[in-house]
Amino acid sequence: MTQNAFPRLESGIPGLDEMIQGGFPFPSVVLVAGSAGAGKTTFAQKFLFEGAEKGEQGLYISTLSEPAQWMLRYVQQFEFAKQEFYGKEVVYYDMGTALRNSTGEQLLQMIDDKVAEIMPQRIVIDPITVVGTMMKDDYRVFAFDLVTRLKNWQAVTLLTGEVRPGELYPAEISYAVDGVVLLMLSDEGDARRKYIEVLKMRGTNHITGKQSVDITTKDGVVVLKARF
Amino acid sequence: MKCVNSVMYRTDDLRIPGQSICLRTNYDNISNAFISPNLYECSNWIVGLRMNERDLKLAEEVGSHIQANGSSAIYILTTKYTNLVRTNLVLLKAFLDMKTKRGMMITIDRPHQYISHLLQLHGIDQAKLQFIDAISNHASDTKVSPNAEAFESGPFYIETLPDFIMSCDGRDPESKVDMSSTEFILMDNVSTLLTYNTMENVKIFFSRYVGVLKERSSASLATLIVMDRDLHADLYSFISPFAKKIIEISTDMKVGNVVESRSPTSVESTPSANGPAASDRSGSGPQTRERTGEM
Repeated sequence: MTQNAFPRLESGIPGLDEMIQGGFPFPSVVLVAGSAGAGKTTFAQKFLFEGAEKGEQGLYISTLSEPAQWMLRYVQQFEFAKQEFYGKEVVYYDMGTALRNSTGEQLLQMIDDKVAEIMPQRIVIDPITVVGTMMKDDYRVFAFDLVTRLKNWQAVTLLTGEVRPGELYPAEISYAVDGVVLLMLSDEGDARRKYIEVLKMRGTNHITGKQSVDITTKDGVVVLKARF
Repeated sequence: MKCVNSVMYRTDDLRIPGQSICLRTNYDNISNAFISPNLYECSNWIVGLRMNERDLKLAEEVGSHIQANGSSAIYILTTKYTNLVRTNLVLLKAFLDMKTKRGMMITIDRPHQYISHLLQLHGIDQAKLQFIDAISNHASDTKVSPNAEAFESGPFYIETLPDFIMSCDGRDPESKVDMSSTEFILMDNVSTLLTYNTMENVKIFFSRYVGVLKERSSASLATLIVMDRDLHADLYSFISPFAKKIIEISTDMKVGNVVESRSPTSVESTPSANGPAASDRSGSGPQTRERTGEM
């Protein structure tokens, strides 16, 4: 690494780091977008547990009002999700309820406070698009302010975004982030295949084009083929 | 008054009659919140979430390794780049809150408003902290943090930064910051200079910087440098012989090896970017160093 190269944080997704020069730029805000079932949450969880293995602090912010134990039950199927990290290196925070009762500024303050308390190097907000559904007209301003604040933190933040039919990625937030990773489902004959594509990654000479992925209980999302 | 998940207290309950304030907290347990000591300077609402226990413990431990009452000295804290800001915060907690020292922060990596905001979130009193902001000229957010003691927009070019620091000696009525009473200086962070400058220029800067500090500061000034020695090994090799003590902070935020130099290199002996004797630059510590702590 040259003296002024971006420090990078390994994603933990087998095959992805080779596509993005070793990992996500640190610090940065990256949007992981995809349709339902494409693997966004699995991707985000692996990212956090990868950091936990390295002694880094992770914070998972759920916008879905799911009880934490529900999320833990789901995550436990994956071998990488070691129980000893729960509540320590990987902290879960549910802001779903607050989402319904708070203004954008209040939500930003809540996130700020939680990040200040935990001081994570890895942050996940899953999914960010739910906030858009709740906030409607104010969402674009909120998204811009959120990303601006997150860029100030010394962390890599993954925002997961659900895409609507016919939409490639959530446009309201993609313009503000440093990177966009797409997870896609594609009907091919009788099969439904999964792909990943790095659409944008600032400061990174990334591999372009769709790469096949699989989801395994051992590693979560795995990039099956990368062209170099 | 803005409140988020807050618990409202009448100030009578807090023995501060005449005002209503808001303790802003996301915690269920209000005991995790606290009251800032400089209440009246915080207008009518008090913000403060206590720093987490792990970082508090680290602040105490790091503070015990840095005695700022003796002669001026440089202290290097090595940590992974992912923990640079966190370590800065721990140091500020130790010096501003625990030791109640008067400090100066030179910000290069990010505008001073950011660290000021962080300090506010952690309830660390900034009344004794001055900022020289060398990056603010390039930042869109130019408002001055209201919490700090003083702020000065410093020059972006490192050729002139040492001279600028030198000018902040309290004699210039135009200068908003005053180094004469400063007890510690923290730079956020020296490695960032490599983003904008060559290594040779950074070495020259550092030599001049330390020289200026020595010439202009009070008798006991702790210069605190936080850096990732693996990521910037060359710069670390240059700077480390100047240090009185090198404190390793592990990835999980614990004090690791503490290496103390009996005779750190003096500034006067390194007039050029070539720095001190090359044989005395290894990260593992030369013969003149002694280990004072273990993981």
